[in-house]
Amino acid sequence: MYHNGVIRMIEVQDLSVTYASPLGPVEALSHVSLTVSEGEIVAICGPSGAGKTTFLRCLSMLQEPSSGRILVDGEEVSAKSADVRKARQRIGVVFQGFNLLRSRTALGNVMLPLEIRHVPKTEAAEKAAAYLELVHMGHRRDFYPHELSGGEKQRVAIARALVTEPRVLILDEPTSALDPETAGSIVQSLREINRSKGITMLIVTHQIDLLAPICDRVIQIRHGRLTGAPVPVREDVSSRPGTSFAPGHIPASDKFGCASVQPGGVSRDLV
Amino acid sequence: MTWFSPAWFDKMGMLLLRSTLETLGMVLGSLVGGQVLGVALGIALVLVRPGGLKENRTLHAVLNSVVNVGRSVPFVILMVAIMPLTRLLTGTSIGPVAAIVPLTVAAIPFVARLTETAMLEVEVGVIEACLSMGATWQQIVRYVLVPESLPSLIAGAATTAVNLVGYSTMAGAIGGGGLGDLAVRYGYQRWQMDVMLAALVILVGMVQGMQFVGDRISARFRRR
Ligand SMILES: Nc1ncnc2c1ncn2[C@@H]1O[C@H](COP(=O)(O)OP(=O)(O)OP(=O)(O)O)[C@@H](O)[C@H]1O
Ligand SMILES: [Mg+2]
Repeated sequence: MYHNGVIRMIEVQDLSVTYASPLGPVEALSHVSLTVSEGEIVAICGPSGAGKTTFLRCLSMLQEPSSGRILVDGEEVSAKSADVRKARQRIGVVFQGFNLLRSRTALGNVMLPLEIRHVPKTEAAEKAAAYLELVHMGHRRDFYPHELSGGEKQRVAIARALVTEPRVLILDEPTSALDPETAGSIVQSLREINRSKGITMLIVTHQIDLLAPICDRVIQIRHGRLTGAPVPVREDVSSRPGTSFAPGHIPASDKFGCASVQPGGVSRDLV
Repeated sequence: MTWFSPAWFDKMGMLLLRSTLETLGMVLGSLVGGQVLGVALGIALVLVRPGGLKENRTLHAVLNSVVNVGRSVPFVILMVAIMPLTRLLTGTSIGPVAAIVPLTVAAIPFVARLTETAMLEVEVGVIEACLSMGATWQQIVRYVLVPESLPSLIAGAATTAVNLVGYSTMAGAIGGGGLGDLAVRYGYQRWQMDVMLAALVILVGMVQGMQFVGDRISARFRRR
């Protein structure tokens, strides 16, 4: 669990996932290994259908791996004996499709993970309201999901994942439905939370320019395989000796399966 | 005596009112019983089905056949067949109170199937979101399955109530009381078409009213 004094928050060892489909087996992930230290923000990119969502589903224990091991905070979560519920409570998830409950308002949706943890109603409501403010959704707290825009739903989903202050946050394209300005502000909030609470984050994105200023590493998944050397991008990381990088080291954006990576976050191709 | 004149109402009013209340009592009593037990059975079906949260293939096969058998027994036969149970529970096998027992038993498998259908419509992603928060299966039922399918459950309850009005008239015909009993006794046996017509009008109004109320409540909860 400890490595050079840093806690290994996520350890994925030789993970493979094969889906059975009517047209035969689909290998969505093949021999993926990854270690993420506590407090790290890791961006994952790669083309559509590469296996990113499958990877996150394994980490949140919604998909059983065909083979391989996953350890979160030193505990194996892929084992049959694992206390899945306890392990899940340490992980917050923002889904690609938001997955909000129609029957609950924005506030009610954000309160849900707290209610599941038996937090008293008034306390849960206060906390949920605070996190809705954080994603600039305070004015929509009593709206139902069908009364919200795509981006507003996405922000409610982010607040819902954050409200329990999990040890690990897993986000599947958390800014896909947001304008650059709102996305930028959400990304900044994520970084602040990462700093203040030490939450480890794994973020799938197609807009790497947006994430570049806050993430420690960018990894990519292609055809179910982890490819490309880890690229440090956060200024404080990239300025360390031996890890610095110049634009010349940046792989071409098409090779990455996402837009170009630039330290400092000045977007080049996007917006 | 002129049909539906004040004098006619003086003579027939009490009879019609009493029969109407008997029918309402039978329908509402069995609706409550049928909903409570039927929704519970429906939830069980969803939980134990293959791929469900508490998958249990044997139990699913058993419950599934119980529901199918229950639904395929004609009501008239069901009524006679469970008379011992009715007598055990109500002390009698005739009258509106006794009729609630077979009506409830008939409603349970119907409600269970409607509940199952409604809950299978709940998006898998929403259930997964709740699972990823560390919810127990009981919490999934309470926070997701029931509230998310509530509009359909209410619409189903209205359908069930309308069916029960129909069944209650059959119960009436073999001594259950209510509007069905009235219509048969006066209309069929004594050829008094006025009473039969009045009973029919009340039954139609009752069905319309139940459907209307059900639609309104269901719409209030439907958020899309
Ligand atoms: N339940 C399933 N059954 C069969 N195949 C599946 C299933 N789910 C995903 N796949 C396949 O696995 C592959 C990876 O899917 P995944 O959803 O992980 O992609 P992704 O990288 O998240 O893509 P996107 O960027 O479009 O969200 C795809 O080829 C997909 O068709
Ligand atoms: Mg995906």
